[in-house]
Amino acid sequence: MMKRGHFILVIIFLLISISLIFYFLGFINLSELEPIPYYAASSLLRMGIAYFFALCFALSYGYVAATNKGARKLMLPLLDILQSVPILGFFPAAVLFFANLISGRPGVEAAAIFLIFTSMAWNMAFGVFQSLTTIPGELIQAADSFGIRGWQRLEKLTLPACVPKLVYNSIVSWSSGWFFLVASEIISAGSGTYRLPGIGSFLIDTTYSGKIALMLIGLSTLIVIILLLELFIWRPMQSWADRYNYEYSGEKRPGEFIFNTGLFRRSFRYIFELFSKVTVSLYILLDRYKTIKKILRLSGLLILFSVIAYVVYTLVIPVAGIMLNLPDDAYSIPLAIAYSFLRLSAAYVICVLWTVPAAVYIAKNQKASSYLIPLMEVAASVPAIAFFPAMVVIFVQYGNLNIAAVILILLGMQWYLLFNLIAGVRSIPKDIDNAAMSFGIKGKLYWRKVLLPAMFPSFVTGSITAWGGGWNTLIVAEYIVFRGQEYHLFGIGYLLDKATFKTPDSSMVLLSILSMALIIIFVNRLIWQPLYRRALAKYKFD
Amino acid sequence: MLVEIRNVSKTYESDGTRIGVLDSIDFSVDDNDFICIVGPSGCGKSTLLRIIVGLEKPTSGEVLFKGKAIAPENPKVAMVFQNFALFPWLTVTENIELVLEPKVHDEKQREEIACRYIRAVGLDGFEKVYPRELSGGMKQRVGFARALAVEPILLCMDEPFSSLDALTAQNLKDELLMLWADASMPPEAVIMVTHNVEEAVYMANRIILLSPRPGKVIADLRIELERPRNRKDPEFYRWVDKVYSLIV
Repeated sequence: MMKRGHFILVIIFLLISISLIFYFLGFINLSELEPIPYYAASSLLRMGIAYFFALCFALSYGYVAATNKGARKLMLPLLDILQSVPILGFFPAAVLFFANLISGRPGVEAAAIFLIFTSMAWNMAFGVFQSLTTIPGELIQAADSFGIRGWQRLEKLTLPACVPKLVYNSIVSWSSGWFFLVASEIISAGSGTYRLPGIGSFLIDTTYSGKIALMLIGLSTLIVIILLLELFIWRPMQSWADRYNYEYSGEKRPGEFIFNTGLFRRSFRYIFELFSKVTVSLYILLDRYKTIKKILRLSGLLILFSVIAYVVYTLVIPVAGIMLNLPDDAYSIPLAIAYSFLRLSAAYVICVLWTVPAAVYIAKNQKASSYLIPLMEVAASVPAIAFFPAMVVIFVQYGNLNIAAVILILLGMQWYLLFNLIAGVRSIPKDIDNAAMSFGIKGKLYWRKVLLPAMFPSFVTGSITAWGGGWNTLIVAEYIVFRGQEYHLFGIGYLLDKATFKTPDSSMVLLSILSMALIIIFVNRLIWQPLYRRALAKYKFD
Repeated sequence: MLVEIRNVSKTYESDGTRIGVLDSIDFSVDDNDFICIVGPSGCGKSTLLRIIVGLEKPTSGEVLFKGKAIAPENPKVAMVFQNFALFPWLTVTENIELVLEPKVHDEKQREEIACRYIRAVGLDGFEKVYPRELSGGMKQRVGFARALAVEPILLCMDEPFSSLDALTAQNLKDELLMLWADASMPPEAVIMVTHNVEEAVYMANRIILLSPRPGKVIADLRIELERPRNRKDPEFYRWVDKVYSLIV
């Protein structure tokens, strides 16, 4: 069996050699490659800053929500809504908002970092909350009975409890962060005025000026960066986090090959400790001086209210004015949503049709999964949106833009569903399969009565994330500026982009986001949540 | 002879080293045998049972059922699992009807059979209930009903009582022995895996003792005790001691 680490090394080697071949064949010259390190570094820096903020946010938000029952009632539903809203929809609004706040490039940078932050933070905060609320009761009682309190408790019980989920969710967040990084660079490149230097904008620039070899090198650079990070940061982190699992058996993950670099682990730990020291000393301080507590609470409220007031001032008041006098485009929103919804549904149907049988085949077939899964994980690690420029060139010139959009949405959806389903099939207890086999249940009957019901919970969770990914991709897929010419598909994503970049209109931006968010929350509440509850109640193995 | 286990061995390979699990197991099962396979944990007794029903392939040797190689979907062999292995999305009745589906094509008839065996294990009134709403003992009753419903010639049970509390387990053992004594009820032979010596002496006609890994047959005993057996009987204890002395 091929170890995943080796597989990644092979891919990196292949990508580098392809780049070298391009160079020797004369497809590219060195001067054109010069900006790549700078672009790569800018992109990476944006990711790093956003991740730092997301980590701090997740720890504080999760901690407060888990320990303060009153705050939880407000914080959890808020997190739920934030998680289900398509983050990319915020980008145009964030660009407008930050451009108002800070002028010029720093404002756009802040908007991009904010966007990446929003794609990382909720999921991690949820992880912290879940870890803190699921610490085994016996462990808490043991800590209580041995008098482990304050700083020691945080260091020995509370924070270690967060490690496994936080590391796992960090990996998920980081990969969705890539998606939004590339997306924000691509979207802002389309505007002309708010450019961001980075790998994403490099992809767009090279494609639109017809330098396909350069574009491929940019894509390879992105993949190599993602894979190197995985090899040197995330896998060592994961094997370190395993130690904090309650059921850790001391076994290494099978078939793993890990570069052990302590650097990232140490800095991760450092943030952890910094955070805990600050919160604990704050708590001790607050306990001692009640007046400080009151002042802090008051000033906290004051800050919160002024932020809300500012948001209302910049965004909501104009809308309130416009509500009385709706812009013409506003009446096309329902139809636009319907068009976009149809595109998403088409992609989803294709997605279900191929991932269900593929997941069963992969999960049931040891040999196939040993080389297919690493291959697919590498493919999935490339943000779907990075293929966007190439897709545009092909379909603008040779075909139908609608097909391009559906394919792009499919790319943004399929991996979520596939990996969830594989995990679902694998989670079928061996005894259940044995029982089915020993009673001669196979073929159609096995699919109908065993396999499909067993996959149902992971099908629902996979579908929810797939639709989330789909909505996000949609916003890029419906509006394209290629060689100075605009191409678009009528839909909500188009209305949003148009109102941001083409004919700036903050009220339309807001209306589009609000209606899209509403429709998504509506679909979640009406379809997915009941299905999810049913899946948990009936189709889950105990 | 109902089942012949002929020179069955099993080895696993892990990180280049071979681990022997079973070593030349050789015995046969006759009609009216109630065999308990007893051995310490990790001696491969569950693996042996799974090889006997055809869920796993031996590395060498073979298992014959009425002279033919065993296949996992053999409708004449049924299995009861330690952790019940009930389908959580099907009700008690549906769980039983499902296993009848491959061989009974008439829906009405499936329902009747399911109903009969639900009554036989004393689960009347729970027909429409989902497994997660049942206690452990009741879940295992469904496990028995499901296995008996296919009217097997051979019933195989993998530690069927070890995830139940002692009192529930004792009741269920007695009921199972009653069903076994009832000539109108299906299995002609039973193979049960257990690590509990007392349980084996209480239930079996024949005990096959396995050594620690790799499992070898170290004894094949006929338990000649009258039924119903009494745990307080000194004779019963002599048998228990005898089995223990063979293990140590």
